[in-house]
Amino acid sequence: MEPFDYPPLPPGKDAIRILNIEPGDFHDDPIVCTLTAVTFTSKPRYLALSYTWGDAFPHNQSLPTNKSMTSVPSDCQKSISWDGRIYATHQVYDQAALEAICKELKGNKDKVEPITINGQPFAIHHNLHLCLLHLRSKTAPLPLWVDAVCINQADADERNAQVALMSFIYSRAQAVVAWLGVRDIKPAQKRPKLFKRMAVESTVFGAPEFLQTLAQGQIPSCGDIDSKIAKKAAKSSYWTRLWILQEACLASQLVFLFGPRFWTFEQLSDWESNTDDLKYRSWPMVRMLNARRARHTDRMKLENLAEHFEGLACSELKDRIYGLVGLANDIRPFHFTNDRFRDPVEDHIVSLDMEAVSSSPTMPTGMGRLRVDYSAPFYDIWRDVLKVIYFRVTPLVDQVKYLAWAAPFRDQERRISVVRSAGIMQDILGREVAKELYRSLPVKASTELQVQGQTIHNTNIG
Amino acid sequence: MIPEKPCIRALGYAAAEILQIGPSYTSLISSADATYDWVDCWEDLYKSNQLGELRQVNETYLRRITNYTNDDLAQICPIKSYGTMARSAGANGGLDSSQYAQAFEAMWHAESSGEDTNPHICLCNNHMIALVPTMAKVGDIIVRFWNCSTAAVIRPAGNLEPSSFYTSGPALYLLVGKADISKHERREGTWVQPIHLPGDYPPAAGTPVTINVLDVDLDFRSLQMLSAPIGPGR
Repeated sequence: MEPFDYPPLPPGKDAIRILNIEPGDFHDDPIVCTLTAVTFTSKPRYLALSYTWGDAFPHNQSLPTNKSMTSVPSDCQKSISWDGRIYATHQVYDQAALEAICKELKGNKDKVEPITINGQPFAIHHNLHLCLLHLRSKTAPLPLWVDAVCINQADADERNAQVALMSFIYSRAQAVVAWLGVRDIKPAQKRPKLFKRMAVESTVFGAPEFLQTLAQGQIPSCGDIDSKIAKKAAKSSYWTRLWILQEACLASQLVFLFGPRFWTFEQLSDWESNTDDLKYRSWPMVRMLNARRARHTDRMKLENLAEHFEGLACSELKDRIYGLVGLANDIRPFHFTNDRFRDPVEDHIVSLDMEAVSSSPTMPTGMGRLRVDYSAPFYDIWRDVLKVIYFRVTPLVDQVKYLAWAAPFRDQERRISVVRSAGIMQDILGREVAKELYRSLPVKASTELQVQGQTIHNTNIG
Repeated sequence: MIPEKPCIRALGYAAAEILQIGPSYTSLISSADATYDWVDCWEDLYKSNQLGELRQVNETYLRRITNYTNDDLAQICPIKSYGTMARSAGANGGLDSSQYAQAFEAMWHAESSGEDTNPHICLCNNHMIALVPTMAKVGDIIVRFWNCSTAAVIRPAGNLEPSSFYTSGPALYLLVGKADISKHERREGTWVQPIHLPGDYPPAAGTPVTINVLDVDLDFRSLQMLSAPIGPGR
């Protein structure tokens, strides 16, 4: 089986691939797409998709994605999970290759299914397949940016570069479409009938037409919000994922798609703030809506975000940083091949002579840059984050307010909080920074000792 | 690439002084006698009306550390990092580099010969109990950092030039290693954590500081080792 042939991204330019979903009928036509590379110079118009790789509701997984699907094909039940939020492979037809990948990745239970891109088979997750069916127009192609398809996930270099570009991709989209899944109904009907029903429902509210208008850069009006339906949407597992936070917060326009229904962020936000029921306050949906409401404030600092959203799910610990750098307004991601950038902080550290500096050394202020590199050791990532927090980031505003009476000591805020920040960032990285260190150190024979019947290795670090 | 040299000047404060080194972690949790000896040794060091609070601190802390994993314990280790030191905040002067090197090497030469690397429990003033590396000794200082549980053992290494800023003579300290202290602060994942400063630091101009605030110079690796979380998460 030949690997999928990605159209190459123009080197040296900020560029993406755009997935055009060809028009087709929900019920009768399989999904057919074209994938093309474009530079941002060409001012591409597209919608960026925000979704989760797994199904958004437990029963969604049994929903069919074509009319002939009577049962879930066995090779589609195989699981694939790339590292990171990354999940696509294009070798779905090749059973042996699929099994090899599954074995290697010890993947979870996510199904993959084939669609056609540029005349070649391409495997996507079931949840994405359901989404594409609901987005597709009968009359016009829809330009989309979908991470699992538009990034060649097998190319580590491209992946680092595109992750560093992610915030730009989402903020440049005409709108971000958040896919919340399909209403969670137990499939009482037989699958072909269920598929027919989904197809019929998809035409009721006119989501494809709505999205077409959005992709043109216009903001169409929406119908009313049904409180009962919105409460169901609030239970989608979409809201619990870390990556959606930046996708939803960076969007200049954000719309939600829940099966055939759709709402703008403003609608859902109004609905939520007018809902008196206190039990919704702690829901992940509310947390996300609050984050978007605060997206232009000083709360969007990496340290704050990482700590506040520690509970959100991601498949890789490094995402706890890389999934948020694009959103934080005190730090900017970059990719190492992008060597236009020279880090003034590193120059500052190299020239720093601690014996000569006064007790309160002056530090550069302003924006920091963080390198996105999934292959970097946890320690390097931790150190780069701390470097930015200590040397570059302007102090947290609320904390400075607290210290306002001590204006001459304003600069000291970072010196007071740096050790705390250092500990939090280690916690957020799953304490892997320390574990990595202990794994890498040679163990002295004499330092083994017995604790509760187990041998512990305690090592002097020299 | 960033060189590993001290480049971060954190602020911390001297939270307590070590009064007594107790048994090792292993004997403390394996032997009833060791536990009794440990509790009995307090009486010479604390007034009888303060023992109640200390017993309470001890109970909570022992409960906590009994569940420490090997990874947790392995972190309570000496940290040998040349150039990592602490001194009274704002103090000028100090040892020149040859004097510093001499003091640093002397400390490590004297202490690192032992075979036993098991952390020991110790009693400090201010109702603090801690686990410290074996090479810690009576008279060492526990330095803490605001709004977190991170703590280090530092050793006084001489006085600096007196200054009007300080009530007592400013001092220089060498880093011994990481400490795990009984005063554990849980953190909450709130949007913004305000900093609560104990005492009145920074002081208004012209008034002396009442808590012993220290400049702690660290390289990234020492910062990482000191701040590594210990014990169950929040």
